[in-house]
Amino acid sequence: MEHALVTAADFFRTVVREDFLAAIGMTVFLSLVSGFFAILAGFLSAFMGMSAIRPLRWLSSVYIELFRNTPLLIQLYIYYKGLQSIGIILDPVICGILGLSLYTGAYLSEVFRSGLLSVPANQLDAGLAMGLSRFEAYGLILIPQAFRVILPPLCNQMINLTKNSSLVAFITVEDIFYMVYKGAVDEFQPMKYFVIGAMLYVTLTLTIAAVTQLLDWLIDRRILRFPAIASVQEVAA
Amino acid sequence: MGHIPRIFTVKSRQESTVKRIGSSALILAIMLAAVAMLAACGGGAGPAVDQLSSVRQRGKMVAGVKFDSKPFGYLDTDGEVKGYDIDLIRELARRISANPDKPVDVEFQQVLSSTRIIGLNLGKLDLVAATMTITPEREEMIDFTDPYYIAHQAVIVPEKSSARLLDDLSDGTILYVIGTTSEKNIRKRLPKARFKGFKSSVEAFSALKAGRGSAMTSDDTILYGFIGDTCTFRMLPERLSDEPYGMGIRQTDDRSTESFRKAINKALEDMRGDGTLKALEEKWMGPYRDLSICEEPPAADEPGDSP
Amino acid sequence: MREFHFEDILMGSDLLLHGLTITIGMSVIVIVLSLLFGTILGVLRHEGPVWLARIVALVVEFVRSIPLILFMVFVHYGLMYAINSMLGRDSSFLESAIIALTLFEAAYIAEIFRGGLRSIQTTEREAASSLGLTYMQRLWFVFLPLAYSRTIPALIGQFISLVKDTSLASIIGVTELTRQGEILYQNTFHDFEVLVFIALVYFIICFSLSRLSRRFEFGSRPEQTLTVAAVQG
Repeated sequence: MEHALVTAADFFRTVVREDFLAAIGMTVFLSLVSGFFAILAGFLSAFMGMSAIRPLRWLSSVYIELFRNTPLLIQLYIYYKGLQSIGIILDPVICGILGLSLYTGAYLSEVFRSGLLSVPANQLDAGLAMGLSRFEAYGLILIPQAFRVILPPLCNQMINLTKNSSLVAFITVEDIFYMVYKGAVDEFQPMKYFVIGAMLYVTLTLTIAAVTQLLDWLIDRRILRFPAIASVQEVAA
Repeated sequence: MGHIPRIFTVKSRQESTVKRIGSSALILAIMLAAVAMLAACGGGAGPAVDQLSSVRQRGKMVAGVKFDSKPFGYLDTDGEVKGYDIDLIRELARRISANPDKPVDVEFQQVLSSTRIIGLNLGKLDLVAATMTITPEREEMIDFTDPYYIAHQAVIVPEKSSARLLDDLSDGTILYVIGTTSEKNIRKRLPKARFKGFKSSVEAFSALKAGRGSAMTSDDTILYGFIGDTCTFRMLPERLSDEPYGMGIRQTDDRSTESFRKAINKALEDMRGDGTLKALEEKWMGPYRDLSICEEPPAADEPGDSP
Repeated sequence: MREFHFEDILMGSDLLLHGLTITIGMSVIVIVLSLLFGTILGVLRHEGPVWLARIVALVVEFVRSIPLILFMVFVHYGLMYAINSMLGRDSSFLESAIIALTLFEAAYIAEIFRGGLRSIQTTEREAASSLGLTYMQRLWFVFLPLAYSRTIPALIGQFISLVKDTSLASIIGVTELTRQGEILYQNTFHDFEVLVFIALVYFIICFSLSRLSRRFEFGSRPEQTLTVAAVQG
């Protein structure tokens, strides 16, 4: 067992090690890319779920139920080892992005759906009455108004995504947790690496929360404005 | 907070989230330091009962073995765990028993490279025989018996690979198992190569079979097992290191496991003397080492150029 | 592509069944324990003295901002070893997994439960006080039932996560469903079939739970009024 505490210097020395920096980069990269695709998948599924066409709604709910009700670890194993055993070889990072995006997308779909439904229906009608097309009405009226409602749960899901990204270590992607795991198993320093890992994940979580809050504040102060809102207001004026 | 400029006052709920998490990071550091200190102080205490007499009294010992390392420890198609380590432990159980006619029962539990040392330290296992090399780092965590087998770290490549020597792999992707001695040696030997770590040797070998890497490194014992299973891989002649396998026993301050270790060492010595160890090696490693299991010409078996 | 071999599953049914028993057993134990700890933490954070509430808040927020697998590795490789050597006791891998999962899920349940306590309105609190109940009575007979009934859907949602989370115990060597599946496909080399089957088993458990939650979502409202009415009556 280690007989030393994690000193600040020790912490710093380990974190700036080349392989550790690369691992931090990998976690950030995975979170950003998977976050993007998860939002895409979530929106797609949310719109499908609200569509008038029954098979689309059905497809959306199958997607949501299937991906929300199975463990992410198994999903990642299927993309990596499962497909490998039937002769389809995907790069581990691609498997990670695929797994994280589809898993988070299923949760975001619900978030987006309830966000869009929170905007009173007459808003959409009003837009249509003003001569906007359905597509414009969604983009200019519905989504900007829903955004404020969506922001907090979206933030939560992004935090979950970053935390969940730790599971890619088991499909050989060298992320932050991979380094922690090796530290515990190979170097017999579980405490030291746990502290370092926890600090890094807390920092990432904190950053996501801070960015969300900044967005919220900017919108609140009308510093950040959806071009959409502006143009509708102009139309209205 | 009246004198604080308005711009800094909390307005939305989320700002308080940020604050909460932020301050929790600080407290976390203090808490963890405390836990780490606790761990540092606590290390080494153990069962007060003498392990040997406890095993004899129970008439049973729990052994951690590999289930995925043919021919040392593996699950056979009939669901039974078999292999060199298993036979060895059964023989030991007979020899350390107080009554030679009534051997100590053995319960085999699966361990992975990543869980064998912690499994021993958490205390449910009496001993671990799991293709484990004796190293100074590990000796700080657990006690070892005398070595019972000397393995060597080797590298295998697919039969059709163009690599003949280790240096041919200098920019390849090498697969290894997390929690083994292999990683350090191969990184030192091939500094430019890329590496991928797996939870178990079977996973690493599946990935090699699927073409996810150009080579896999591990102990020759385990690699021979994989070659014997498929006969479509070959071992490169170079051996990276000696890997003396020892059985792991829990380390305690009160030396309550010492007599158990001594009894096992004594039994091992007897087994070396009366040829039992040799016979075991022949039984399990023989068909793999000369590849008679594949009925193909044996691979070049030159001595390695590194110790 | 190769042919599919789902007959493996039949062959390994003993192995998988054993794993399923452990998964379900572990889930049930963790649900009970984390509900207990989560409730205590939630009550302390919402009703407790400020200093205690702050400490609880810090711990809860910290646990909620790190990955479960990180926490589990810490408990298994670090904490359990330290505790065992201090107390001179033994523990199994399963114990590590149960302790890690319980503490982790309790943090989430505490947060859900605090939301439930927060939803109790001043009028409801006053109504309870005016009946002359002591604080413990109010907590036990009014606040807790109210908070529980309002958070049932969220709690069940957390239990679904919990069942899925038990799959991580395979990493620290617990022979639950995921790990047993791993042993099975490592011997048959039909990873895909076994993994899909395991996913299906988890799906059946979690999907049934989510249906259950939907039932409560619609049924919870009248129940609340009933409780309050009963107390007030």
